[in-house]
Amino acid sequence: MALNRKVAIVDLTSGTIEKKPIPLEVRKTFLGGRGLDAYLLYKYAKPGCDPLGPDNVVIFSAGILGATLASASARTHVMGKSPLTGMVGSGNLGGFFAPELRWAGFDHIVVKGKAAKPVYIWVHNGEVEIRDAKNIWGKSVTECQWAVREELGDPDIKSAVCGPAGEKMVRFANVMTGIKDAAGRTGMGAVMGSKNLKLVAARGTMDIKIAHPREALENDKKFIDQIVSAKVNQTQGELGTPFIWGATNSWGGLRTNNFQYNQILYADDVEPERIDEIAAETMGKYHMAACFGCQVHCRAKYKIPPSPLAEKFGVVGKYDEGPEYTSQGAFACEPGCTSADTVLIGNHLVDQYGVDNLEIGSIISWAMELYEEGILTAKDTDGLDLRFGNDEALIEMVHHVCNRDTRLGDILAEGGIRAAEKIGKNAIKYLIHVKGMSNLHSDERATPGLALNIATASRGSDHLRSRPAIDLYHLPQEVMRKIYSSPVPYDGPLSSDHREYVGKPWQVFWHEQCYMAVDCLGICKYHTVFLGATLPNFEDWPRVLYYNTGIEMTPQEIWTVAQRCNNIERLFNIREGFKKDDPYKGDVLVDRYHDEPARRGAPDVIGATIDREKFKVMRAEFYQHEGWDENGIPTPETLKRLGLENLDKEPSRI
Amino acid sequence: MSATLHVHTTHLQFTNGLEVVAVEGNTVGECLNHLIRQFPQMEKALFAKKDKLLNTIEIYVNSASAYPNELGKSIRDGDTIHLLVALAGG
Repeated sequence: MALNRKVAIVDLTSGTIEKKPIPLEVRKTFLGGRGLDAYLLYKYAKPGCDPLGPDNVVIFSAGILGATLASASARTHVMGKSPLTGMVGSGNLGGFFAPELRWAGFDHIVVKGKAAKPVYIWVHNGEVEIRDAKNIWGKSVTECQWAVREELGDPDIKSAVCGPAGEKMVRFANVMTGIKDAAGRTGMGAVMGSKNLKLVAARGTMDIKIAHPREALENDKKFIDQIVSAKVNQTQGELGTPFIWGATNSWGGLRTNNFQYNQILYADDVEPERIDEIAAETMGKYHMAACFGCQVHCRAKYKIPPSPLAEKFGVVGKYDEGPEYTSQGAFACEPGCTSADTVLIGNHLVDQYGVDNLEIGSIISWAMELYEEGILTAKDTDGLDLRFGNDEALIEMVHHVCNRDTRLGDILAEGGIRAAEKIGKNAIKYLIHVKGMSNLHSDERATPGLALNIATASRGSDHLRSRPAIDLYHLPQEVMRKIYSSPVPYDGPLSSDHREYVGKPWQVFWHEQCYMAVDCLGICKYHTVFLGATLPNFEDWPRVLYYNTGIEMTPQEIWTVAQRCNNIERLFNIREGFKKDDPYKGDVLVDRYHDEPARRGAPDVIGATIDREKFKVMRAEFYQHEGWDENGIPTPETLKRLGLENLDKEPSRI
Repeated sequence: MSATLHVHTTHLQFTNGLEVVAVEGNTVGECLNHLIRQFPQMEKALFAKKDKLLNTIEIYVNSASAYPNELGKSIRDGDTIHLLVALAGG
């Protein structure tokens, strides 16, 4: 059955491994993936633990629909306490690992403790082993995956790995699989490195029995039609996630030069059509690829073309995938660079080191502003001319941060808040973050709803936890009302205008539940209303869930599961120090959002700031929708309604 | 046929600030051509090349997506057209 997969608790200190079933009641309470991970994190991580110490955990999981007939059921979730933020650590990746984990018999691998020497975990057909990693430690993201396949004699093994950045505990190191699939943000790769855990390898041939196969297939055909008939997915199939970059830049929505501007000029070389051209030139006409079971195929394949920069860093002809929209931000607008070569090289390096592109691009761009302000000097940079637009210095710094081999690289590898403390001189003033995590390169000053999203997201500034991205489309009111009034009733205000503050708290609240539900099911956000209003939604998921797993749930029940799991993440953050107005751990924006008007772009953007008082009103309303008090703490009534009133006291349900 | 066309905020700079424009045509394509005759700068804002909308432009007719073949979609008197722009996603 799709539900007979287990949880493995692996203690790297003692070397013990426990295998536990997942009771049906637990399934109905948390579904799987990120939702059950949140519960396991809460119960297995020691309160107040050092994120890089043995009392933290790192959890690898598949969603409840993983490897079933459900479309795009490929997502792997990774969770622990974040070494970057000290709060919820969470990353989600595509590719092929989660299905392999399920075929190997497991849905969740909870890793605690710390190994005395480098190890890896080998999961295969119901078995879990801890093995010596001496032959794979130190290898890049792709090299270590091939090395473990060779060592175990099976080319079909899939692994979730930490790269060299994770081994060096760069606090924003990713967990990676394949070429470029990244559980990014919050540094889960560093948690692996801190445990001397190089990778989790999985290979399985255990069938997953589908509860109602004929109906599941028929339903999936409809699902696929719905997915591929959306313009956004057709476009992503041609250009990948970069498709949205050009229009957003023209409009004035991209943080540039570390948020001094909101539009990069003379950047035609970074436009999606140019990147697509390079992919076609180096990989041929059919250069788009997909994750397991997905019809969107949003990732480009490319080789780095010859250029002086590529030659200097020895990467001419190197193969990679992407770049994603996020790499256009990290290696173009944020550091003020305008070359596709730089984006493709930067993208390749972060994939090989296993480090978060958004975080490293943002933190180097921050250092560039500090350099131009005279807070950092040539002495601090070891002579590197770290001004905006210096492509070579940018790429050089990527190496230094990932290797921690210069003083500044080592400082930046600690993440923004720790680095600001070490640098001093009010460097914190220039850091663009929420809860210690750098922002996506989008500028939310003209979009209060999106600003509320990044301020309140559980893992810090984040566009994948509650962003009402379709708010920018200006959907007809009728369409908005249909989306946002289900599966729970809502008759409050809704505005199609992205500049409005009214109605946005409900949209953020709604999307928070939507994305959590998707992360519990283990399917991709491009298969829901993240970027397309016509894509599947709460109303569509009960059938997929029932036909594949046999679990009967209503849309409202799925919503309640999502709310329960989001509240666990909130409770975890509260346990680890959340305070509503804390500049480092609160639901707040940095001053630039409020005080510095946008300087470039379309008339509806120029001059935009987030009004402090209106922001507070939005946040208060958001808390009310959540069932939280005025300080953002879940009320006893909310906890009771969600069955979380005894979360601290109860023994772990797994 | 006469229809009501709702302009996206980012395009108000090209329509003299008009949020709603009366357009005429038997298809979406004809209605857009009529819009462009009134406000020539809208052409660049909507079209990648002749008869090909930009990838980031989506058309809704009477609150339903007109994709695919948006430009050939029939219009009846009193229909409502919304111009959507995909911006700033993740």
